[in-house]
Amino acid sequence: MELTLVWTGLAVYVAMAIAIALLSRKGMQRELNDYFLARRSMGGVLSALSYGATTYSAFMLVGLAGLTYQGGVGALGFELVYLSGMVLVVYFGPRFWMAGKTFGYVTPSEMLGDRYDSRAVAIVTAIASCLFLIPYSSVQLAGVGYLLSGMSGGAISFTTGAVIATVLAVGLALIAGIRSVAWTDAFQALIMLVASVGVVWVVARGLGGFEGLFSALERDYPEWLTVPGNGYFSFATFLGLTLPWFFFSISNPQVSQRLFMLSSLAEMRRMLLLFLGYGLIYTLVAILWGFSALVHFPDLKNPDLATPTLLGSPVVHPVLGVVVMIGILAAAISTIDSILLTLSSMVARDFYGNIGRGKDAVRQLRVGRWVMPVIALLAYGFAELQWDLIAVLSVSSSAGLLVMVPAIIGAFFWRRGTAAGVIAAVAIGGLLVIALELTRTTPLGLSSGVWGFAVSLLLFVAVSYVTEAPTGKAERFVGDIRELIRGKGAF
Amino acid sequence: MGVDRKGKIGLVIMGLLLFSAYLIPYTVLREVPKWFGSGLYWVLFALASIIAMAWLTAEWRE
Repeated sequence: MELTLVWTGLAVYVAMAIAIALLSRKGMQRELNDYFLARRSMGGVLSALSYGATTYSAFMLVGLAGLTYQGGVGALGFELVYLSGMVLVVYFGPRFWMAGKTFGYVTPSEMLGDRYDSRAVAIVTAIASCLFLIPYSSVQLAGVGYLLSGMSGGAISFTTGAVIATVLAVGLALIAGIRSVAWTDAFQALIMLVASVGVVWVVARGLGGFEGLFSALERDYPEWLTVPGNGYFSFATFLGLTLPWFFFSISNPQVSQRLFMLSSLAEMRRMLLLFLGYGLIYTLVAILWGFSALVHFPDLKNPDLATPTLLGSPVVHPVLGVVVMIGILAAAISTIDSILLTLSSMVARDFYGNIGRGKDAVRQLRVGRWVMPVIALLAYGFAELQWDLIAVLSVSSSAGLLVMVPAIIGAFFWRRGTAAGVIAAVAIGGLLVIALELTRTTPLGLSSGVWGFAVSLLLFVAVSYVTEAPTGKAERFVGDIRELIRGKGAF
Repeated sequence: MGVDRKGKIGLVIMGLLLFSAYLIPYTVLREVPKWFGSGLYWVLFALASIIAMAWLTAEWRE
């Protein structure tokens, strides 16, 4: 692909994103609540676009397309089970929101710390979030690296691509905190949608229409249209992929923190439903994309190259190719900047806030802003290692965060849960996931996420039963919050 | 209908839908390599889940 075109596309995108970030500073106050939560006054439409851009990363059009290329329609089932996991927002969203509003929480780990009446809980869950989300960000940076080097035929190096992504993500998060993140996310969600329309256009026109695509699949790749099909999506694999992603909306703090920010439950509903529509369309597009790559380039050695190869091929008009490329870049950046912001709020609030002189909100904000580039550098370091399959790494990060789910469910639904139970579940469950991933072992054929979840659930319940629960806090969360949300039509 | 009752019905509906999303493609549709096989089933499953969520949150207010 024409190099000038790639650079021009990049320049226009970066300039617009920065302009929007700068505009979003209007009316901003330099204080912690504004910087990390937009003073809990976000509307549903902006939230939905931002939620979509944050949730859907480079993984969709690169990793998921690659997964479709490799394993077939099971990739669709996997992603739609994830989407249905948004039902957790129906049950947990109002609780997060009400608890945040009532007790003034900034981060999800701060909420857990207070609920279980333990600073150690806040610190341990914040550490777990950093430990698993930094690799997740690296995956995104690596995605950009692959993409730009693939599309430019190597003229733009992997490193240059990853550096551009890192610098831009830090910039967009630093300029005005969640305001610049949310507004640039919304802009990027729209780019992602435009890019998707481009993809559908390519499939419909360039590749002989949907009928052409599916008849080619039914003829040449029938096993790609069923599960377990060609064997990739065995039931154990499908379960191992879907379980961590089903719980994504409550286990991943960069999205669960969003639940604190909405101005009302009516706006939360708007966010939920708009996001679901967006997610369904975007998922279908990513899957179609992967199938198209399969039909046109059946012999790729690395499935992650399916998207760059298709974009760089004569099938796709160069201008459209650049639009889709920017769409993927936007998907990655909008995910990384949100993660950076959330992790820095956790470092400021849950580490620094719980030690020595860290109580002061002005100091916490300053620490949060300083920490952001440091986290980004760490993520960049991981990206440079260039690990194999993007989808697998990204999912293992989610598997790690899954070990916090028992504690989150317990916070609102189980009065007997204790701090010791949470710490045991998160620490041991988390270490188990890391050990399984490092040694690439899958006992009984089940993945690290399934084991991490089972072990953390067991430990949370067992240790809680033998330790004393904070009854006052438990009642406030399980009983009082429930009464409060009932008054607003939720259950 | 009381909100609590609605919440419980929602759990049952979503539970059944989810269970079917694992069961049907791996059994009934295992040997149906067509566009109207597992792919379509999962799309319908997603649409049904979205409708269920819209219904479950219909009373949410300020």
